[in-house]
Order: sequence, then structure tokens, then C-alpha cells
Amino acid sequence: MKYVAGIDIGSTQAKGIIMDEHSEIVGKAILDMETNMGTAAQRVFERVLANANLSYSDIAFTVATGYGRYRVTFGDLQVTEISCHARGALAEFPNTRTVLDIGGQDTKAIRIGDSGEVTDFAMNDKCAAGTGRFLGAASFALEMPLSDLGPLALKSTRPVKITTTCTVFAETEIIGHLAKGHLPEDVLMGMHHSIATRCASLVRRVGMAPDVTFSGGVSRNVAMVALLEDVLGTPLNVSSQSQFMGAIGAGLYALDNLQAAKRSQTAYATGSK
Amino acid sequence: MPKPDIAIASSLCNVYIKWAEIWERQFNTPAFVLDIPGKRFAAWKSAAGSPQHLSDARWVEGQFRDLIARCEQITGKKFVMDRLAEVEEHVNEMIRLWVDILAFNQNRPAPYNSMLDGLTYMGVLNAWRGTSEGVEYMRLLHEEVAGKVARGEGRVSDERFRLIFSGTPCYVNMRRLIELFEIHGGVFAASDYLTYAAGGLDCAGLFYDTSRPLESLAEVTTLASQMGLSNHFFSHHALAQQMKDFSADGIVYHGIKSCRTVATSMADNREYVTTRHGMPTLYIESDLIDPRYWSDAQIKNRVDAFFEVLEQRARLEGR
Repeated sequence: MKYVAGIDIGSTQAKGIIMDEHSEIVGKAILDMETNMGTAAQRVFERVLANANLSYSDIAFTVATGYGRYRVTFGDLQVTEISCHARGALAEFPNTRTVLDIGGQDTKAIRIGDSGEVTDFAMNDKCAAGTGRFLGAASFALEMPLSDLGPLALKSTRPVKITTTCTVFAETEIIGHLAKGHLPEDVLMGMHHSIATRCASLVRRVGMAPDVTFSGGVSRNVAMVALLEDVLGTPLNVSSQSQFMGAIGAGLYALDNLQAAKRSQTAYATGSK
Repeated sequence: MPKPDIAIASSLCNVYIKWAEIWERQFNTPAFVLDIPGKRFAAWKSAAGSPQHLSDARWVEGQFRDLIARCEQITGKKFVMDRLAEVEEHVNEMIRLWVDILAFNQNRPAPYNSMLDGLTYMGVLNAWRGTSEGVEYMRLLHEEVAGKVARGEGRVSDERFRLIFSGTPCYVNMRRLIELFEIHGGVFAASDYLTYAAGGLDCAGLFYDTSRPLESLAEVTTLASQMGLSNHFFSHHALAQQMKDFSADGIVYHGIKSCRTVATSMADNREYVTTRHGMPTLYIESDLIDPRYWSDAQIKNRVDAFFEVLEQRARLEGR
């Protein structure tokens, strides 16, 4: 049995998956990013190998994705997270035609054609408002873990409108609202709404078509899912493995290359060193 | 660099007006800003010789006369009409050659990258505009590029995708921006920058009538501005034609902070070519000259993803 690896070096977390020739996932690992991307890539690779009970020599092909993909020195090919997230979403939800991925400081809207090809994409530029960082600011200001934000926000009955467009200044605004006596859940729901409207405009920019798959770490936030479904007016596919969607897509590209090598054909996806 | 004696700007570019204001403050340089009427609405027809065109041209001609008087005052020299005619004759020849050079890139492979070596060609066209040296350069350039076409020599050894660039360069990262595309075998066969930043005369076969130098200067300037730059808001049909002429595989839009005139139209233009023509497009942002707006990782990420889109499309089309 041959195995392939997909390594996703993102801005806030490094993810790794290992899959076998039948695209079954046999190992997963996730850890927080550190300043040295190369070291983080190496660590997550070792972690996922341990999780799969495999060694370096068992991995026939590795595809790296994410901003840190060029720092994955042991990778065979780099593919952007645009293509990888599209591929990962399609693998779990074959009717996906639009992907919304909200990561730590990056939000992407990806449009997929009927043959599974990416036809268009849009990303946030110059500003991390509307990304997981916005929720990170809320977590810091409210002194509560990220995982608690969604359930608490859903308890809101009178959401507060968050007016700032800046993630950095959002902290000040949250503290200001709390000082005025607004409830944390109402402030939180306002923050979630702010993210949802910003992300919805990205989705509309590429043209939304069903099914819409929501991926990335922020998709684990139940309030975000509910709000986006409301703002976009469509149910969303959310995977239990949404954080790994990029790594899964990278693994599938690795599998393509493995299969192509078997047939002595050239590599499938464009990539560069 | 010597201190400027006069700064001449026009209503076509708010940034140049700001630069002129800065020189005014720093060097006491007098500023002269031409008001050149633009297109007033989407279906505006800038027909040469039409009553509207001639009315606009007379408005511009009046300002040129004022400018002449101002320059005579500053330099102490009299304006010589024959000298203007001579300069215009040189410009005519340079533009004739420029039109050909732009068209050479319709060949496969494209002999030059319109947003790299093409910028150098245009730089000389502008800096030596109207001079005999400029004419000589354009003739040599024409010969050189024609030779490359004849030998099938491309800008890149493996031209994989032919692209159109809409917008200005990022001058502080001029080469880097284009390299990000060339490493994937992507060449910019055409760009609107080489039209509007070169005066716009090439976009409609405009040449000076040297028997009426000043009137013709006003008439051509008015038309070239309306068709070459003001046109930016309504340029989608011209772009659709360019997509065919240059066998484009994709269009890259470069939105910048420094020029709203150029950047404002891009979102709508992109929507048009994507939805009506199914053309893959990429939108990236930085700036003409402000290095603070350049984000290498963000731009590289988008460019890499764009080429993955092009490759996937090419694979589906069996290319």
C-alpha cells in the first residue's frame, strides 16, 4: 500500500493528513503555527506520521499548500489553497459549486465549474476584518475561548451593531459596548453579523451557485453557520473535517500525481518550487 | 535633476495635478492644468470632425494658446509654429511604428512582454517624443521586433498562456510582478497601459495634420484623451475585441490606490468579461509607486492560484 500526504501551512495553524491509495484518510494532525514555518511544517508532518503509524519512507508523494507551502522542504509539489480547498470540498460534497473558506486571517470565496475546475476566486485584501482574526479579537476582549463564542452568540436577543471595519479597533469597540452595559452575547452576535456580511459580499463577487460548502476553522462556529445561511439564503455544507479541507485537497492532488506517475504521465496540477 | 520651470498637467490625471501642486509648494514652480473634456456618457461617440468634437477641441486649443503665452513669458523665447509642425511630424512617424509594434504581439509567441520590455519601449517613446532620435529608435525597435516575429522568437521560451493586462505597472516592483507570471509561462501580449500612457493616439489611428499644427494638436489631444483614457469607464467592448485579436487566455486587472480613473472601472469590466465571455480573470491590488501597498505573499498566492485555474481549464479543453 502506498501513501500520500497533504500539508497545509496556514497563517494560524498547520494541518497535515495522510491518505492511502484509495483516498482513505489514515492520519491527521493539527498544531498552532510558530514563527518558523519550516519547523512547523516538519513538526506537523512528524505528528501526522505518528498518528498514522507510518514513517517518512512510506510517503510516496507530498503536496504542500497554504501561505507557507514554499517552506515545506520535504514537499514534492506546491498547490495553492484555492485549488486545494475546492478539491477537498468536492471530495466530501460532490455537488459543491461554491466554497466559502474562513481561516485565521484569510477568507476565500471559490467558484467551481461543473467539471470540478475552479473558475473564479476572491480573497480579502490588505485587511483581516471578516476573518477568524475578528473572532480572535472578540475572544481576547471577552476573555473567553474561541469555542465558546458561537454558542454564546446564539443566545443573543438584541444584537449590537458593530460599526468598525477594523479588526484591531474592534477590540476597543467591544470593550466600549460592554462598558455601556450591553450583554456579551449581543456584542458577539454583532461581531458575527459583521463577519457574515463581509464574507457574503465575497461570495457574491464570484457568483454563488448551490451547493455552498463552508470550510476553514471558523466553520466550526455554530453561530457563523447559522448567520451565513441566513445572509446567503441557502443551507451550507459543513464538514466535521472542515479545518483539514485544504490538507485533504492537497492529499488528493498528491494522489493524482501518484497515479499519473504509475501511468508515466506528467504531473496533474501546476506547482512551483 | 534641475528644478522645473513649469509643471503641465491635465484633468485626465488627478495624481499629476497633485504632483504639480507639490512642486508649486516646494520649488515655486508655476503649474498649468489643462482641462480636457472627457466622454460624458456610455454611448458617447468621439467622432473626429463632429460638432461636439470640434467644440471640445476649441476649448482645448484656447488653453494651448494660454500655455504658449505662459511658456514664452517663462523662457523669454517666442513660440515657432513650424517647430511644432516638425515635432508633430516626428510623432506621427513614431506612432505609425508604435501601432505596428503593438500589433506584432498578436503573433504567437509574443515577441515581448507588454508590461516589462514594452514599458521600456514606451518610456523611450514618451521621453524622446517628437525628436529625430525618437524616430530613429522606433525604426530600430520596429526592425528588431519584426525580426523576432519572423524567427518565431518569444519573450519566454515556453509561452503557455497569453494574457492581457489592464491597469498600470507597479513601478517599485515592476519586474517582480511580471516575473510572477512569466515563471508560469504567462506573457502579457497586450495591455491598455501601452495605449493610454503613450498618449492614446494608437487606439484610433490618430495623426497630426501638420498643415494646421495648433488646431490639430487640440483636435488630436481631445480625441486621444476621450478614446484612450476617459474611455476607461466604457472600455469593455474594446477589450472584448482585444481578447480575440491577441488570442487571450485570461485578463489580469491591477487595481491601484494612486489612480482612481484607471481602477474604478475594473470591477464592472471584470464582471462583463467573466460573465459575458467566460474569460478567466484575476484581480490584484497594489500601487503605481507606493511600496507600502505591495504585499508579495498575497499577490503571489493569487497569481499561482490563477495559473492553476488556467491549467485546469486548459486540461478540460485538451490543450
